[in-house]
Amino acid sequence: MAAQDLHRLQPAPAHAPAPTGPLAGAAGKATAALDRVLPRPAEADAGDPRQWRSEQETVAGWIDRLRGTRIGAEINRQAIKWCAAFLDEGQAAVAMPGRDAGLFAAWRRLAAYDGSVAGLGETVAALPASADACIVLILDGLGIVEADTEGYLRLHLAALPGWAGFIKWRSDNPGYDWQQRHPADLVDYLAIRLCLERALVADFAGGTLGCKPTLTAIGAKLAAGPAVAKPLSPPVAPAAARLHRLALHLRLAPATLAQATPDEVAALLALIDAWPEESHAPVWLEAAEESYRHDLAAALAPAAMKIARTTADEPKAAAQLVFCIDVRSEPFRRALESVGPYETYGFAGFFGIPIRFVPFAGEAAADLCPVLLQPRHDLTETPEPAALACARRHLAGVAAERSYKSLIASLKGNIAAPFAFVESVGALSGVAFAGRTVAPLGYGRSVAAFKERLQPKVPLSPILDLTPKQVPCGEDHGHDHDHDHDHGHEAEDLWGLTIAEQAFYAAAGAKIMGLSAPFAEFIVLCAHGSTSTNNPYAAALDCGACGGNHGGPNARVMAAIFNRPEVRALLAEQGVDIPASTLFLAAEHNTTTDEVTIFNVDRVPESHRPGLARLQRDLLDARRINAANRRKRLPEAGKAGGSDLHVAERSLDWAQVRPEWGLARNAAFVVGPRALTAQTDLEGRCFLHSYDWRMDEDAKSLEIILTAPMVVAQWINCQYYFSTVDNEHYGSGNKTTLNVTGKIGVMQGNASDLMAGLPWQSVMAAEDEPYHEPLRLMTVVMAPVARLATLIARNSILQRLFDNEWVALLVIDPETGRFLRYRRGRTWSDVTAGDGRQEDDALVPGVHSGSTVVQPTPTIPA
Amino acid sequence: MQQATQTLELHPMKKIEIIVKGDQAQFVRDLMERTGISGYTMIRDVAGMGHHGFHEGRLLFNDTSSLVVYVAVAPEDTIGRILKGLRPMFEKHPGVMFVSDVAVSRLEYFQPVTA
Repeated sequence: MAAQDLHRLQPAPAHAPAPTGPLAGAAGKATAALDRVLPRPAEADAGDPRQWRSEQETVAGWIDRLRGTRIGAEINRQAIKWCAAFLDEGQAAVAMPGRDAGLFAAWRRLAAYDGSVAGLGETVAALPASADACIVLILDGLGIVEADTEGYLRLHLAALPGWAGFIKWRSDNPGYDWQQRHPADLVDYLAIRLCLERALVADFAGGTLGCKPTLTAIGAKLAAGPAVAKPLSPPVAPAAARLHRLALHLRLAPATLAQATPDEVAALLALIDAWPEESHAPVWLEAAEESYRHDLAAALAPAAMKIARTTADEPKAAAQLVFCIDVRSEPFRRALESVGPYETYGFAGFFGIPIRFVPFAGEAAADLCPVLLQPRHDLTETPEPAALACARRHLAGVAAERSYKSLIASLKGNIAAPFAFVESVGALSGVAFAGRTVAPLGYGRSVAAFKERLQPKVPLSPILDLTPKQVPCGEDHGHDHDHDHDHGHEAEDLWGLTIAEQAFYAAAGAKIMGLSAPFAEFIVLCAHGSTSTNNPYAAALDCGACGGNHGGPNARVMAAIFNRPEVRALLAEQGVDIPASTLFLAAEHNTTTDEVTIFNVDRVPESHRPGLARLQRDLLDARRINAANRRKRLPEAGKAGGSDLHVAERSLDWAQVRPEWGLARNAAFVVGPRALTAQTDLEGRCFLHSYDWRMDEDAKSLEIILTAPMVVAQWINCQYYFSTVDNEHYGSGNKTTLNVTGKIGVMQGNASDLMAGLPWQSVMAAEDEPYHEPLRLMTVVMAPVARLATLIARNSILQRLFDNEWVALLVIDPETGRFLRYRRGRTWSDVTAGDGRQEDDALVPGVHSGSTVVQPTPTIPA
Repeated sequence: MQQATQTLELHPMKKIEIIVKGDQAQFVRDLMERTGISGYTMIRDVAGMGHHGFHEGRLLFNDTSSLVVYVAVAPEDTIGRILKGLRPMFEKHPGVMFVSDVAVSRLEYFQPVTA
C-alpha cells in the first residue's frame, strides 16, 4: 500500500450517524446490556491540575497554563533575539559588541539597556557575574529542590532545541574560528534563560498576583484562583453507532447483526477495543516498508542466484568508475553502463581520506570527511611550476572580486551610503535582476564566462608529500592567516602525508571496494556535488560523506596518490598489482545538471587520449539519458528546450525552490558486487556500496562499511523520514517564509527556533502529496550470514541500529543461496522466495511473514 | 669508588584514568578542562570488555564508536572535583574510572590552572 494513500484515510468521526431500522432496535437492547458491562473510559488523571507538574513544565509554563499568559513565549522570543545577535557570523550590519567575553558576560552587559523586559536591568545587576553561580542562585530563589534541578534545566534546553543544539555544537568545537573569538556554551545559555524567566515571573508575581516569586508563594496564589475545568474526555460513540459502522465495513446486512446475541455483540466491540487507534500507525508503516522490501528482494533474487553459481570473470572494461554511494549515483551508473563497456563501483564519496582542505586562492578550510571522523591531514593544491604567471593573474582576479564584494557590502551596510549607492548603480542591478529572472541560463553562463576571463583556470596539483606550510609560490595567497590555521588541537604546520600513509589509504580503498585485476585503462574516481543559486540548503544536496561539501578535492588527491609510482610499488607488495598503463583520473558529477567534469584532462598522456575522448563522449550520452529520466520526475517538466538544458537552468535559477530532488525517496543500502544490482532499475532509491565477500575473509571491510557509510545513510534516511512525516517540527517548514539568520542557519519568519530539518519543498511534491516515501532504511548485504552475526555481536552501534529496528537487515548468503532477515534478539528468519511456504498474514503485529512464492520482477513499481 | 647519587625529589599526586565510550569523550574532556586541570592524555581506538559486552577498537571511518581512555595527574582536590562531576555521568552511561597514587618530580607543572 503506497504511503501516499495513508494520509488520505480519514480518522473515524467521534459521532457516527445514528442507525435506523431493525439494527436500531436490536442495538438499543444490546446497548443497554453493554452499558452495564463495558468498562468506562479512563478518567483524566486524578490530582489537582493547579499543582506544579515538576517534570513537565517550568514555573513560567505553569503560570501560562493556569492563567493564560505568554511568559514562556516571551522568554523564547528574548532568547532567540540574543542568541541571533551573539552567534551572528557576519550577516549583521552592526555586530553585537563585547562578544569576546563570552555569551553570558556579553549579554549581561547589554541586558541592562534592554527595555523590552521590565525589571531585567535590576534582576541582572543583583545577580553574580558567573553563569554557574547565577543558575544556582535563581533555582534556589525559586525554591526548586536539587532533585528537580536536572529536569528543570532540561525543560529550558528543550524549549528551543535548534538554538540550544547550535550552541552545543559550538562548545563541542572549540577550534572553530567564531567559537574561539566569541565563546558560547550551554551553561551561559541556561543562565540567560533563567534570568529572563526570573525577571518575567517576578514581574507577574509582584504585579498581578501580588506575591513573592517563589514556588510556594505562587502556588498559594494560583491555588486560590479560579478552578481550571477538567479537560473534557472525548465523547464516546454510543455502542450502537459503532456496531453500525462495523456492519458497513464487514458488508453485513444490518438484519444479520440485529439477530446477534448480546454476548456476540460484546465480543465484537471488545475486538475493536483490543486494537485502539493509536496502535494502527506502526502497523501501516511496517506494511508500507515490507511491501517495498519484498519487491526489492524479489528483484535482486535472480542476479543473486547467478553470482552465487558462477565465478566467471567479467570481460575487460574500457574504464572503471568509482562513484559515491549516494542514491543519485545509481541512475547515472545505469545510464553509463548502457552506453559502453564500463564497470562502476560505489564507495564513500570522500574516497577514504579524511582531509582538511584549503582550496587554492581560498580562505577557509573545509573538513572533507564524514562527521564521524576528525580530519587527519591538511591538504591544499598549488599551481604547476609552468603556470606561475597564470596563477598570479588568477590570484589578482580573486583579490579584485573580494574587494568588489566588500565594497558593495560596506556601501549597503553604511548608514548614509545606500541611497546614493542605489541612485548611481541601481540600473546595473536592475540588469542583473532581469537577467537572473528572465533568462537564468544565459545570464548564468555569461557571468561564468566573465569570471573565467577575470580568474583564468590554473592547472593545479595537490601537495601530497609533507611540506611545511608557507606561501608556496612566493606570492600573497590572499589567505587570511587568522582563518586557516589552528583548527582544533591537531593543527600541524605541514601539508601532506607520508608515503606510507598515502599507500595505506590507497590500499584500504582498493580492498574495501573489491577493486582487483583486470584493471582497465582508466580508473575514474568520481566525486559529486550540486550547484544551485540562492539556496541556503545547498549543503543538503552536496556529498554527505564529505561533510556536506563537494568531493572533488578528495577525488583529485586520491587519483594523484594512486598514480604515483612509489605508491603503486607499495601496493604491489600488498598484492594489488596495478599495471603502469592504468591511469587514475579524478572527476566530479554535478547531481543537479548531471555533468561529469574530468579534472586535469590536459595532463593526460598522448597514449591515453583516444580512450579519454571516448569516455568523455560516453559520459555526455549518459548525461543526456539521465537528465531526461530525471526531468520526468521534476515538476514543471515539459519546459521548452532539451532536457539537459532544463536541468542546467534549474541550477542557475534563483527563484527555483527545488533545484533537484536530492536524496528524496531513499529506501535501501545495498552492500555487494555491482552484478547484484546492475540488471535492476532501482529508481535512484538505493545507496550502493561495492563489496566482494570473496576478498574479505576476516570481515574487516564489511565492518568498516557497516559502521560508517551505513551509519551516514541512516542519518540521511531519518532526516528525510522525519522531515516528511512532521515537517513543521522536524523539518523546516515552507522555504518561502524562511530567513537566513546570522549566516548560521534558517528561521521561520523573523524569530523562531533554528530549523534543523529539510524544508517542505524538498520532501513534498504538492499539498498533501509527499514525494519522499517515509520508510526506514533496509540494508542488504551479500555475504555469509556468520560474518554479519559476528560483526553485530562486537559492535554496539550495529546492535543499536538493528535491534532497535532503526534499520532492517537482509542478508543474501552466497554460500547457501538463502535470503535471511535479521530479527530482534539476534535471530534470523529465512525469507527466501520460491520455498512454497504460504504467505502469512504479514499485517498482524508480532507475526513476521515466511517466504512467498513470487515471480521475480525486473523493476520495482513506484 | 662512591658515586654521588642525587636523591630523587618526588611529590605525591593522584592519577585518574577514565575509560568511556566515544560518545561521552567530549563531556569528560569538557569536565576536566573546567576543573582547571593542567593537562591530560587521551588514548583513542581502545577495545575492551565490560558489563555491556565486548567493544571493538579502531574502526577505520568512525572515530565516535570506540572507547577512549583519559589519563590525568593532578592534586587530590582537583581529582575530587572531577570525581564529583563524573559520578552522575556514570549513573547513566557505561564506563569506569580509577584513581591511584603517583609521584611526580616537577610539582609546579601539575598545578591546576585557573580558567
